[in-house]
Amino acid sequence: MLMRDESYYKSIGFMCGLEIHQRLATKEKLFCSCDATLKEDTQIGKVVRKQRAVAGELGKIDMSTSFESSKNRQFIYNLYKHETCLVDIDEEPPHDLNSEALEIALQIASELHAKVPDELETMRKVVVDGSDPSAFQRTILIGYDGYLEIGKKRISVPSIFLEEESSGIEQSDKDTVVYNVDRLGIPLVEIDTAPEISSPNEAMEVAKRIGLLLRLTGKVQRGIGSIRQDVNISIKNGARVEIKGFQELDSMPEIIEHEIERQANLIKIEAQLRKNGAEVGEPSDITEMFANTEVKLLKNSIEKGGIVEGVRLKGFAKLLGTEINKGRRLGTEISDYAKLAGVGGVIHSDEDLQSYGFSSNETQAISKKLGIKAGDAFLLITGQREVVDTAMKYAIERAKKAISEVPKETRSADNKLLVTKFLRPLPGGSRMYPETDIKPIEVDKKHYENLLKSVTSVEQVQKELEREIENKELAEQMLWSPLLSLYNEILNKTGVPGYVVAPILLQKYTELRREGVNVEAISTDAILAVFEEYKANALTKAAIGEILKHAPKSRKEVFDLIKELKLQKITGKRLEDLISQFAATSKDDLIKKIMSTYRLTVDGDELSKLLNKKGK
Amino acid sequence: MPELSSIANINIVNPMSIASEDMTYIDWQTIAKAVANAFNKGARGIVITHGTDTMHYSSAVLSFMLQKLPGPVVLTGAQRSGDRGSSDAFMNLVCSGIIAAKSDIAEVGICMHASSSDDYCNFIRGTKARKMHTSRRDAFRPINNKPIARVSEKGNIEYLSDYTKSTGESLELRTGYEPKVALVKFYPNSDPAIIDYYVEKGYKGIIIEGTGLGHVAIAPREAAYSWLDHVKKAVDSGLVVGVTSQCLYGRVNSSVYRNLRLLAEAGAIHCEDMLPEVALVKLGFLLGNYKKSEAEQMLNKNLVGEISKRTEADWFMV
Repeated sequence: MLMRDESYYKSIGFMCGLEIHQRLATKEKLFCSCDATLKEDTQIGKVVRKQRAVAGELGKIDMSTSFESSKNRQFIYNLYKHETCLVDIDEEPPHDLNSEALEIALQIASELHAKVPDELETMRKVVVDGSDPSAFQRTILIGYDGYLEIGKKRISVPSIFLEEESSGIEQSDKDTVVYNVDRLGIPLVEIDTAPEISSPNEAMEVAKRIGLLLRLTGKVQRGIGSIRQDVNISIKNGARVEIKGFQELDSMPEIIEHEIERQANLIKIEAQLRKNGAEVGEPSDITEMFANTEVKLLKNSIEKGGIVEGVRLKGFAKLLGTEINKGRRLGTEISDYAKLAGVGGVIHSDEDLQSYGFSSNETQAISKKLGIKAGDAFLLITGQREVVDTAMKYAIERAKKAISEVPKETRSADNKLLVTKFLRPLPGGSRMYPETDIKPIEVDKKHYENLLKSVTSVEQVQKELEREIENKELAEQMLWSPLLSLYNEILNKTGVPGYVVAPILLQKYTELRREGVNVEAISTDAILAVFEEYKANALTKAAIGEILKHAPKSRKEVFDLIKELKLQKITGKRLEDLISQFAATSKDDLIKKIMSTYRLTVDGDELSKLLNKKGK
Repeated sequence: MPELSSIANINIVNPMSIASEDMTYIDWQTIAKAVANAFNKGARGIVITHGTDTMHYSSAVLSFMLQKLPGPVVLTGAQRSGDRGSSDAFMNLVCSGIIAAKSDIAEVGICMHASSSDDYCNFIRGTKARKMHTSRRDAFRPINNKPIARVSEKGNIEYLSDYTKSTGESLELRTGYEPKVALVKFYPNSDPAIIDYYVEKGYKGIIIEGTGLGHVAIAPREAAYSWLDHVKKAVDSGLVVGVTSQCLYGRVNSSVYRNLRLLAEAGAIHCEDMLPEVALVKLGFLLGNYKKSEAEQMLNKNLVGEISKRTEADWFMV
């Protein structure tokens, strides 16, 4: 994909800032004593809840709040033995703030050179998607006025929050969403940058750099979902859009490029619509005219008691079908809004109506009924009446916006198509109010001053890695790897040198991943056990890879594998006994013979040394 | 809450805004009068929004103060504040509105969440309800009883046990209340001089929360810990002394053990399966409206459903 230079982005008024969310590695959750380590747990029950849009303490119902609430869904929360308590399911007031989490958060704030408030005030951030059983997320401003240095540039970090993780979604349909209340309440740090990022590439670099700083603390969770990057972008005459759900940072620039493309195309469409004198009509029920229709979609819907509503879009002809991203059109955007109400999508007149099964008579009848003239388009929605009413309301809202502005939205990254898709309107400002159940917390300023004095130097860490790993390239890779904290943990706990550990975590893991091994499933306990055995001279380096092939999830599994696969290292006296069983013409021949059978259990160096000693 | 207006025509009265732990019998009297007034003006049913901590005291005392009701009196509240979208207030209020507007129950009761889920509420007899959890939304449970009904937000009322219907007689309002009644808990090593204290302070009645079947210490090795003479002295001084159980579930008894018999012989009245808090407000009500001799007679006889003759097998831990 073509990447332009910074002056181009300046010329289109590109504005971009990041919100990074990182789960902390604490024993307990932020406001209760539930297990925060996300081990396997047993489900012990569930509760079913509903939520409403409420005014909070500021007396205003937020637009995105009422949008979501109008979906009128029920939420099912799965409850777990060690990871859910009454605090999580909004049945008990929060306990005191987790001091371990506070310490890590302060350390992160210090790494970003932030100031900390004298007193920490817990706030409630209204959450409307049901992912929090209390309908709000507790959040604390922990740092402000910080910055990140990236090369010679400084990116401001205006705010750093310590907050609660949300529940993970298990399943969702239009009536019900099922959440797992296991990760809910795990401490999370949110780092916000100012909109000073000047290109899509720089967005990726900043995200990577913040990720590195977080990993270097050694106190953050790793693994899928433990860090999330939201990108806020806008262009001149466009609108601020928050993009969530990036999976690979490397594809972030391209997704941002496509968002720029989308906004630019919407601006063009907007101008054309205005020129056309575009207007959105009033919807009308046109079910009757489809009594004998052959359009399967409509026929099935009407048989189930559904209705068909249509609306005239004056001056929209050809524009609904105009591509804004590859394979995506203005019609797709409108359809995404309607889908939120629970319909499958919309039918519009820029589509190939014959492929739906519309006869030309039907098309003419629709046009007549809706008052469609040359240059106009129409939109049809079918389904149960109450669903269609809401879907039509949303679709009309979006269509009207097309004439006036690019809408402010929260969008999700499609990591396959590398485009963004509508999630919900961007929440306004009235989403926070004070958490009255928790007293303000005083910050130990002296302690924070000390943290500021001992900030990590990335260059220092890199040098250290080069010394340990004895390979510049691998050291660089290790620095940027999500497994850096695992690497440090292995070195600290087992004493195995970096030049042994790094190749396993980088090269061996990559190799195993290619072979289809789920290396992400290997538990920390298991990998520690493997290196402990290696350190105790009970395993060879070659055997390590053999064990990891089976992606062990526990210590016990590691020991079982060693036994089953007969991987105990042959060393010392036993190795001498083994040598004596072989006859060979030369030392090299002997080594070759032994290693061809005992590749996984005999260490070649040891064998060679032993043979030298024996003078063979 | 727009759906409330689709359930009933509502007239709102605001007799007070007060934390429930700050309420006194004067507030109970005010509420009882307000309820009688609303019924007299033609209300079909009443919903009272109330702090949850002492809601079961209020529901009990209103059950005594408002007899021969023409319709339902429903107390409700919230365990989670209404500023959050997850608050139980919304469903509790809707379900209470449904009971008040649609049911033919003519009793005072509490209508709150039946479980931690937002699926239905229980309507529990006012003299048999108790707050059994500090924070859960299903904190109110029926003790020695089953819920009268359960009701869903959609409007279904499922009746689960017998209840009183209106007889068409006119409402009987008795707002007298004797505040000098005390609830005293017996526990190992407790000092019986607490009884003397209330006697000296001019109290008219005491409800003892005894152990098990209604015990207090009678013959401890250290005679100073025996409650027997103190209870006797209180009764002789003209106080009405009732005995309930801190087990909450089950019925007290005055004859199974010798110690129980001695306590009864001293003049203490064992209060059947009545909850300690209910016995307390009942005694205050009786002493505020009847002669002492009548109050003694009435204390362990059922007036409004506070005492059941039979304890059904499925009334435990409901």
